[in-house]
Amino acid sequence: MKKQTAYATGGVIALIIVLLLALSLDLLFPLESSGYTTPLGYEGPRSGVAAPETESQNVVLIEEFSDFQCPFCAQAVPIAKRVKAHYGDQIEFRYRHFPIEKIHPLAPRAALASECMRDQEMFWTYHDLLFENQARLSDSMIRELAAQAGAEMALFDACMSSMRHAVILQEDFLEGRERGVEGTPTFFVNGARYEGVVSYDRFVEIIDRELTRAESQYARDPQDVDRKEGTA
Amino acid sequence: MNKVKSVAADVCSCTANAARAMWADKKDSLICMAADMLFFIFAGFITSAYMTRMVASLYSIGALLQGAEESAVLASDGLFSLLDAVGAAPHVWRIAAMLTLMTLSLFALYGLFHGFIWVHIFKILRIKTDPTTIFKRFVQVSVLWAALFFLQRVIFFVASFFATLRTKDPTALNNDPILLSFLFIITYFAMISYTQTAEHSALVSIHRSFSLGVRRVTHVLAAVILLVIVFAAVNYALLALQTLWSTLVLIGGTVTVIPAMTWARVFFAAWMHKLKV
Repeated sequence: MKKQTAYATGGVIALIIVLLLALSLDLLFPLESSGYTTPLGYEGPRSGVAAPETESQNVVLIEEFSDFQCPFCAQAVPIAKRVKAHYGDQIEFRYRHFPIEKIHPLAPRAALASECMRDQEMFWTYHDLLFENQARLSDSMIRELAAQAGAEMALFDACMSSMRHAVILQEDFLEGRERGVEGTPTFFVNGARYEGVVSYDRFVEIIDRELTRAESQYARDPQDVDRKEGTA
Repeated sequence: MNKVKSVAADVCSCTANAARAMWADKKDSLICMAADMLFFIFAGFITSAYMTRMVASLYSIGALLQGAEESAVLASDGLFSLLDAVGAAPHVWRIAAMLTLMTLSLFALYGLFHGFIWVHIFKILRIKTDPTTIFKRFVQVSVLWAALFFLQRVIFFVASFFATLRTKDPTALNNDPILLSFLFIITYFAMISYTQTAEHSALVSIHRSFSLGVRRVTHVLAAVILLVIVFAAVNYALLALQTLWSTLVLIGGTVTVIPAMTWARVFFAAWMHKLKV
């Protein structure tokens, strides 16, 4: 009987250790943070349905066609933040929705939620939260993350049930298709397409080239550039 | 022909006897079912906790490889050097560490719950044993099968990784017949060895699992075929139920699969005790 009690105690202790180990995985193996906290852009409403043209010719426009459930897109986030931290106002970063529902069933709903968060000027905060929690994403988590970001939940819920931003998703998706997007992430830097995760060094190379081009164009014909800026 | 008829009759009588034994010892049967359920809950929790993080690391490796500069790929000498060059080495170590911890955790859970279940299976069959001895033997025997199972999983994981890189399809190797056959063979000999632990030491139980499993293969297979039929029938019934009402599957699964698992162990243990090498 003594032996059986010893076995039972040992078993319970082993079970507790195993469960505690699983519960403390976040401490043992923390998910790597990019370390860059710079928001990728303006948090507030998007002007118009499709993305507008850049307002200045000296700003490099980076558009990313992305999907909130795509792991490669998650990998691209810290790179984009590092690029933004390096170039600041010299670049303008725009997120375009390209949810691939067939393999990522929650992506359209997450995209819709992100647009509802844009109404509350929290798009990029929510964007980061969605990618940070991508592996655990669920229907309920989409809402929980909105609350975590600090959203006014009544407004968020009303926006989600009205589906009023579905048209933005549709427009982005169709535009992506027209521009040859086949998978995510796909980047457009001043209109030139780059497929897959673009490394930081490659971004630097591309952006520097674009900035040099803009400068040389300004040097050649400053009046033409000023005219264009005035009409934007 | 007569031999086939006699085996079929034996299987039928053993099936009924197992059900009768369970009915006669409701307490131990219910304990086995509860332990099975708890094992599923804990194992599911642990697997999902580790797998979520391992898959995230695997995706990160894929993304780093995809985003790698062409020059880094060309300069690297082999896969490990490439993984190091693109900064994926920490992810590889992370996966290895988590895989080891997950395996040890699942083995501890398996030993605890299934050892406990087998103690009660022998009680249902009224085989006089010392519970702690059975428990110890069960864990010892399981070390071999767990090691082989782990080897199968590692081969599957590595093969899947390369197949995913090659085909860009994460499910490329999910139904590979060689890997599935290996799994079936491990389960076959493991099940036989567990039924022997009441009367033999761990080493002898393993030895007997091979001798019984090979020399009396037709008899053992007769029982295995019955078990396959029973579980396939339960599976199809649950699938049919799913089309009607998905919540029913959870309830239906609990009231059919869990008792069926206890019955399968009682039946198989009773069947194996009739066989002599």
